Amino acid sequence: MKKIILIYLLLINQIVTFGQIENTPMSIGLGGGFDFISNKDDSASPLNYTGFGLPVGVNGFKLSENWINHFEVQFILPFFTNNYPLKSRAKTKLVDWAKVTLRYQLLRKVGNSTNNYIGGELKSNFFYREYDFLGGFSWESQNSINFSFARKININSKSFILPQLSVPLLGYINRKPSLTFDEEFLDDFNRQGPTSLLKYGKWNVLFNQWIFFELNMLYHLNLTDRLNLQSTIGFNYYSINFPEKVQNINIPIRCYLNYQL
Amino acid sequence: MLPKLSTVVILLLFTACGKEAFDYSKLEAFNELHESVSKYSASIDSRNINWDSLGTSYRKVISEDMTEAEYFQSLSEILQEFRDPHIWLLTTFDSMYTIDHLGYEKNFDQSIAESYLTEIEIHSNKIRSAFLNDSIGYLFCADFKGDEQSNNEIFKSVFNKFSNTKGLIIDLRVNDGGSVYNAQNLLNKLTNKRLAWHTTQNRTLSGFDDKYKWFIEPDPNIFYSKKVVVLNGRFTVSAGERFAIGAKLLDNLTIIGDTTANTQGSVMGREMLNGWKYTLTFEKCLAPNDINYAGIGIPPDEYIDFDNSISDNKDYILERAIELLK
Repeated sequence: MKKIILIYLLLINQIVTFGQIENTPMSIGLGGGFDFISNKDDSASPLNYTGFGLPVGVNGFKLSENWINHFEVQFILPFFTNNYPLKSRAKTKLVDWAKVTLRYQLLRKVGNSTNNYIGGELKSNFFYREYDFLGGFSWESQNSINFSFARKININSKSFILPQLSVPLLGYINRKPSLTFDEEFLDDFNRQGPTSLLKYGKWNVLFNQWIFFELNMLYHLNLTDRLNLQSTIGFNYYSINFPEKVQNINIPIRCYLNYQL
Repeated sequence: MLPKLSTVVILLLFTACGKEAFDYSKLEAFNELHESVSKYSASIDSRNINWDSLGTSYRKVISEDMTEAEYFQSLSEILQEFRDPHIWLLTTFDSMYTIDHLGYEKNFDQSIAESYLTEIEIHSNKIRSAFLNDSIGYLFCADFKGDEQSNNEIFKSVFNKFSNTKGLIIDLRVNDGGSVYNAQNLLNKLTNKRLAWHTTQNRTLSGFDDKYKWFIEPDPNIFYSKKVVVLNGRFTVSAGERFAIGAKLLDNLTIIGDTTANTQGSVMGREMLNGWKYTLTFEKCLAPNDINYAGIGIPPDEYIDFDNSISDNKDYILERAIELLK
């Protein structure tokens, strides 16, 4: 994993820039996309489940001389019926699933004549799965402070790309695979409400039973004075090793139409 | 050009068709099943199962050349070694329910029982109430499944209806379990004292978690203080058995009939590498004084064997209950 990250960093630093976008006032937009998922949760099933969802989301982006502000919220929820069945090669499928991602990035340009940015990201990612058969379910909620690196590569006067890498520094991970009729869990929840779920979480640093990294490539295109288009393709991987291992790969593709405020 | 294109299309179709068949290793799936049961089952110790030894014996008969039906049969047999009614094996072509293989006999016949009843009221497809001899209430629960609030409202209405009866019969002879809360809500109306009911422990990767205590909590609005006779049998399972543990604690309750099925802990569902589903008991349930009825069942206070239970269109267990409430 470390080699992949290093090669990615070297590659994006070698790309030469053409044209300039120096400033993009805050713009907010709506959009959607495609999210490919591959998940294997040993506590719930020995089978790997793959499939996709069509997330809907809100995006906000601001580029100034030295700063990048970026927030994004995405939902894949049964309510929106944008979660398509995740299936295994044994032809089983999940009863239901939901995924919510929230992130806020604040990046600062480093150096005077480069387009490299480093900074932090607050990210919250929640993935809930309901397995067929007696209603067993599982979730992980990862809430982390991440280190981010990005490089702005101007294509022309109207567009640029922003490849990024994020790795967590510290995270609070809440994970509970619930056995089908886990009465102790249900009794706790009935008596104490959602606060009872806090006991299934713990603070973690990277490589302490937890691996996570995320690569993104954002493409920005000014359409008019007020409208811009942003699309992103990403790759993220996480592995949480408690109480049993869950591994997840995501390839999200998103596209937003933003309106400049 | 066209023959080449046809060849490509045919090859693609063939490949697509080939991908439809799911190829898996029977031995690998068996080993995964065996390992999962080792990790998650609460029953290996309590039922004195030598699971490793059974795995070794049954592994010898697993062959990749077996048909799916033969493989299903082998897996059914190893799982039946637990003699746990909570253990099932489900496939798209067949199902195994362990309780069907234990030699148990059902001491209940609905049509015979109903011949004793008047004013039968159907509250749900699982709960019925009626009168016996005008002065005895009768409550039948086929299971303890379903929404707790809805079921509790049903129980409340039943007890209000029976407030002037001189006794109550609760018929759980074919109660195949469900929510411990539904069993608890029913028990709560039969006592005015808070009582330690039982403890449970979930199987964990390192053994069992801490004991979790369950209580019978008196219902603030309803206390049925008169005599109650609970009817049990070999098909009283799971939450129905937990009800029996509670019934044994209450002085005004008497259990008659047969010993319960033998599995009180909660059940989990998992799937195998080939997509087949199975269940097992992951929870250890201990009655007061740490008595573990797993593998045994809860014995009645008055035992009525199967030969003397239902015959000649008579329900002798029900008749004995009526006699006890005179």
